[in-house]
Amino acid sequence: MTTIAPHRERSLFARVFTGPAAGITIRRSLFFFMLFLAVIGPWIESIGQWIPIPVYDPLRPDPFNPVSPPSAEHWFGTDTLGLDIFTRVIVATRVDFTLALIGVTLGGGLGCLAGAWAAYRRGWVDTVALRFVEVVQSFPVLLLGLALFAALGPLDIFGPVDHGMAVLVIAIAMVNFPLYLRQVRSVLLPLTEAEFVQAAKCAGLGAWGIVWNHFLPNARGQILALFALTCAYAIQIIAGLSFIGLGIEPPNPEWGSMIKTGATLIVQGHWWVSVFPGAAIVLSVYSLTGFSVRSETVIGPGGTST
Amino acid sequence: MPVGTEGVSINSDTANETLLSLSGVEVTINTISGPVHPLQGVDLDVFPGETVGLVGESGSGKSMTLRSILRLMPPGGAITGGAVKWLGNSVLNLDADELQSYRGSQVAMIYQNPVSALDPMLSVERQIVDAFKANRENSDGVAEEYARDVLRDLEFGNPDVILKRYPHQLSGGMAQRVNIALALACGPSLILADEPTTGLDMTTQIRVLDLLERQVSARNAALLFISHDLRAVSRVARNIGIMYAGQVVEFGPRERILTNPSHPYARALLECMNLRTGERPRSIPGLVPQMTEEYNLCAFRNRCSSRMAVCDEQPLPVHNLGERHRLLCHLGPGHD
Repeated sequence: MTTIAPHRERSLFARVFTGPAAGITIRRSLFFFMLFLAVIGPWIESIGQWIPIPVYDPLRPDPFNPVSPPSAEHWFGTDTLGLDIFTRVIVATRVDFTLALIGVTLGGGLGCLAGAWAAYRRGWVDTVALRFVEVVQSFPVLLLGLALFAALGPLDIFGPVDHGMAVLVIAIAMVNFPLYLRQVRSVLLPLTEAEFVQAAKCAGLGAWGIVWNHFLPNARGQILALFALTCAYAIQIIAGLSFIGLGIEPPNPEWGSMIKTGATLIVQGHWWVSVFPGAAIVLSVYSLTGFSVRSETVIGPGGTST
Repeated sequence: MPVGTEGVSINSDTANETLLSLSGVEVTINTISGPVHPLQGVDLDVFPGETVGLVGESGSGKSMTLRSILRLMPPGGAITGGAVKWLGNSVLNLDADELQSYRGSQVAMIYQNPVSALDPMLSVERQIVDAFKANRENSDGVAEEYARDVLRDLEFGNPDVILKRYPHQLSGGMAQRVNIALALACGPSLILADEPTTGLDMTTQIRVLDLLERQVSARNAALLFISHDLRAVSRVARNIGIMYAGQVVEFGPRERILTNPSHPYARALLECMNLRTGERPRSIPGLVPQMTEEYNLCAFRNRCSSRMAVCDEQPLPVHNLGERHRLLCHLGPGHD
């Protein structure tokens, strides 16, 4: 083991997104491509006027052209209402990415705080936290989503925010909270007896000071790795819940509900209605998991080790 | 003048004099295999600005003494007897907020393993700035200025480079000097040092020790230094205490302890380190006592070459030999 100073000049995020060796892999470029689609999604129609790509209004049906196979006019074909699938797959990117991000940040953030607190306090706080986690995790995800929609369905509590989207975010947060709590707690548990934590106590730092300044930074590698992974997982949950008709309601574009539209058609040979949104989900999840591995190896104190 | 005022004023006078006073401190740790008693009545006084050293074998209760001063007990451990007083006020009665300001701004600690006492994820600057802001002035500018100054005081040639480093980029000696900087940044009146040089090589040890002593006395702080190495302690401390089985068996000025100790264990220790005779090192026969027992009689008597009948019958007497020289032994002073 050498003690030569590692490359600290490159920022943390630079190292996560491009790795210790410079260069862009297929997976990383795929992620940036998806991110790009998420950004331009809603303006795709006006962009289409400037470049020679056939895009349409994602919500305007074409009754003369239902379920037409992929062609030069409709690259991914059309669905039962004659909506252009290519446009809708692109537009849905933002919805899925944004909801996943908000839900994971909310649930994960609270989970990290609770996990660090449980690891610091131990004793009954730890026990209560773990029992709570076990209760939440014993529900199947789809069942939890169904129960949430059933419970929150009649309530008008989200004001101007779309009701389905808000419940989706809560569902994702509830699924992620225990994941983060468990992970952060198990990573930080040995730190309670670490000398630098004792030293911080001796230096007169309070409980929250230690959790915030010493505990959470020491778990950031694992938190970031989990973040990319759970975002991918959250996209699957959103698609899954929309597939069974919860969350984003048609005709608003969303990958899960688009797959549902095509589910009955696929046996008749009209594969394109389901396959293209399905492929979008697969590619998003694949590109996100790449960053999970990346951040785990990059964010050690040594920069490249641990 | 009402009756009794005189007595009160005498008390407050002595209270102002003693910075820290431990009397009869006992610690019990409940473990799976039963209770352990690492401290069995520790008496110790530290006055402002002085350096005190504690010497003893592993398991003699040195570290636990420091922990009890900070009320930082291991899981299952508790202070079960005696008193810890800071400027005359009981430390054991402090509530959470008072304890937090007592730790750090009054008493700071330096640990044995310099690298693991630093947070691996934070830069040196961030750690010093945090310690300074938590205990002194809540201002980033002042704290950063101070961090640079304190590193210069600790003989870092280019503090700006060190400030940006992370603990794994420091050598053991550098890391320990950073730890000293951290302790000084809190601005305490007493610094506890738990074998601060054990992990360092010989030349670095001496340098770090001298630096520690100089910087502590430059700030008029007191230093309580523990080590198993009598040489290291005698280099720094003006008063030395010898610990055995959870008690300070002999305490006194450095010259007395080093040239003419009264306790048989202290003599054996000196002979082991052949500081007096210059012969080849010897060991003390017998085993270190098990701290699962509570000792009512002398815990050293089974290994003692001067064992007498009274040692097996009566509890230890305390002899005050003047000049703060204290002895816990049936032999008493004046034997040789």
